[in-house]
Amino acid sequence: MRGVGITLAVGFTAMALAVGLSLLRSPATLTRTNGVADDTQTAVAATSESAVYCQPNEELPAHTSAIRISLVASIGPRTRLYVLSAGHVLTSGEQGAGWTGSALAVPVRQLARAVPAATVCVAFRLRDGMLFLLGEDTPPDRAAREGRFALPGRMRVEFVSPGTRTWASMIPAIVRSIGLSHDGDGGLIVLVVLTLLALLVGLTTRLLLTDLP
Amino acid sequence: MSGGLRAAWICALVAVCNAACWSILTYAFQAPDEPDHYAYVKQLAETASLPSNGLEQLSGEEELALEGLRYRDVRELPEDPAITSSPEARELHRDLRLAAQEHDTGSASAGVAQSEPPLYYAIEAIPYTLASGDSMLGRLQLMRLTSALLAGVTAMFVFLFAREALPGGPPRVWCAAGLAVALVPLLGFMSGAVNPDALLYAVSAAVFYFLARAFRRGFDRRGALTIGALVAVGLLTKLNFIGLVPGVFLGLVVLTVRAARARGRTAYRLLALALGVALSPVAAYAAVNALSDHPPFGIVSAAVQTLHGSVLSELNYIWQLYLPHIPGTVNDFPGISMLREVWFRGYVGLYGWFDTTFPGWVYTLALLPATAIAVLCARELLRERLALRRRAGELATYAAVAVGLLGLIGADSYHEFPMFDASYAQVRYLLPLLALFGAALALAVRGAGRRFGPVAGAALVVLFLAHDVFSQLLVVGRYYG
Repeated sequence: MRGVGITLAVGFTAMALAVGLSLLRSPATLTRTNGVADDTQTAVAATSESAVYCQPNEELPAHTSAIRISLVASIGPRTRLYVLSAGHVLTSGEQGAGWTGSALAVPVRQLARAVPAATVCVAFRLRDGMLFLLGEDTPPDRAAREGRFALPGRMRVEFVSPGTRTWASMIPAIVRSIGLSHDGDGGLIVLVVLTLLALLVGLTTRLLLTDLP
Repeated sequence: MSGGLRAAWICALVAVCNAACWSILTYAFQAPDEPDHYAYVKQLAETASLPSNGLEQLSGEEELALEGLRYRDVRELPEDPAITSSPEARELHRDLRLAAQEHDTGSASAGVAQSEPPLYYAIEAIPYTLASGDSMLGRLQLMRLTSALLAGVTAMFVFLFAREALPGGPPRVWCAAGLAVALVPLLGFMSGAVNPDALLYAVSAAVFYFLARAFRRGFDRRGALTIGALVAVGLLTKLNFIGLVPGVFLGLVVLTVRAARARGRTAYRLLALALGVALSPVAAYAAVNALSDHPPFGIVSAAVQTLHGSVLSELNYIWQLYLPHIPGTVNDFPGISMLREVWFRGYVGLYGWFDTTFPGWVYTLALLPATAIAVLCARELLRERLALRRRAGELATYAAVAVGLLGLIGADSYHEFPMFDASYAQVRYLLPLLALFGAALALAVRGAGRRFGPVAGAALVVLFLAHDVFSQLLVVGRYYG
């Protein structure tokens, strides 16, 4: 009984601390996009083989912590992203295989300064399956490139950096958003969720203390 | 109420509370295929008939609501949150009002849900009808809460299965298994949505329990009827249940052979009874299809007829979908560890429309407790190897059920390969095996030994609780942050 009690106390304290620390962190926010609309995206490239796509004339904001590319794959391959300027790699990052969906965020090393005319490249090794690069049609001189060849358009690129507001300071806005999304009172909905969680924790603790020893 | 039964009820209640939280926090229609499942219920509730096609042309009412909810903007785009401003909310209310005024009855199209059997949707038609005076969001919430109740059934049967499969106890191992499974975030997420998977998990857990019960206490008429009826319910719930059927039938044969040693040929009547009850919906379905000039087994017949590639290629693919490729064979997933980067990652955290993930380091960190659990479980299996040998028939049954489901998922994925690498490599499809997962957790707790067992059990449950809480916070941050 004593060992279980101590384990629960330590576990719940660690969990509370972790939640507290998370609330003091800032969520990543979208700093800027390259202007390619996200609601009219078409496939500017489709491949089932390894490829490297590069897109010039991108503006990398200072302190960018991740760059999001509109890529679609059912099981995404290991993907490397790098930012070039004057032929030099300024920053880069990698995302392991297994991602899915229609946008891939690759964490990159932050730079203190903005880079006005950067080239964003995305490279991956692929053998089977299909991977689509989404964006919008553009003239060849503005388009992304695969080697020397221009693709039919530009890919959508988004730049993400740590926000200035903490999760804790955003709680009122989050509660409000929950209410707006549920067509109800956000405070009341959150209260219901917290009550359910409290009941869940209470029942779990009770069963552990009575049946585990 | 006995201690065991009380614990089972508590596990059920914990699972219901958990799934109810998920049902509230997951933004409307942002769970896999939820709009299609909703459309199926609408069709069944309003017209008492099944959807006639699998097109993605939802009813005007549903389309308006999805537009108000910015469904297509939010789906698969983690940077796009749910409604955050008053103008967006006003637009949603306007669309919901317009949706309520739409007089289209039913929804002939139900997208990917169209090919599914109707049982789950018939259950969901009850809350749908009860909340007919409410807005579409209110109706969806009540339907989600109905699914959440099924999470309780799942957790209860996982507890009971652990109790039957590991009769030596101690009770803490059953409690730890039941509670941990009740707190599995993916169970909460899927059972907190409108999706037949919720009923599939519950039925599958019940099948495992009654099989274990029959192996432990003997195969009788009641057991045969119950297992047969559960198979029938499973087949009426979701096509994926077909994967479990060969293993269940193997279990029935093993049970019958055992029973025949004591009771002679009468045992075979039990087998006939179970099979007859189990296959009755299939026979009825095939008869209706044959009379209406359709393929006898619907989409299953069509899938079998359109197989491609050699059997060896398919087997190789299915193997690699779960395990590392064997040297000398074609590698269908080069550069990807499917076990770690798809299945483990999918279990640790992949919510919404597969667009809501933890930061990368979380998946690496999660390998630590997962390895510890696997080691403890293996230790206990090794210690109990003699007892396991005595229960070979029972274990072969569970293994056959698992292999059948894994094979079905693999075969379905291979059907779309190589256009899509692995369309059905989603962990939610494995949750019908939650009972086995629960038993593995119970073994891990027992593997910690008599002295450390209670602490290990408590630590395990706290770990699952933390995983669940942080998964819910992740979803809150993604949709409302």
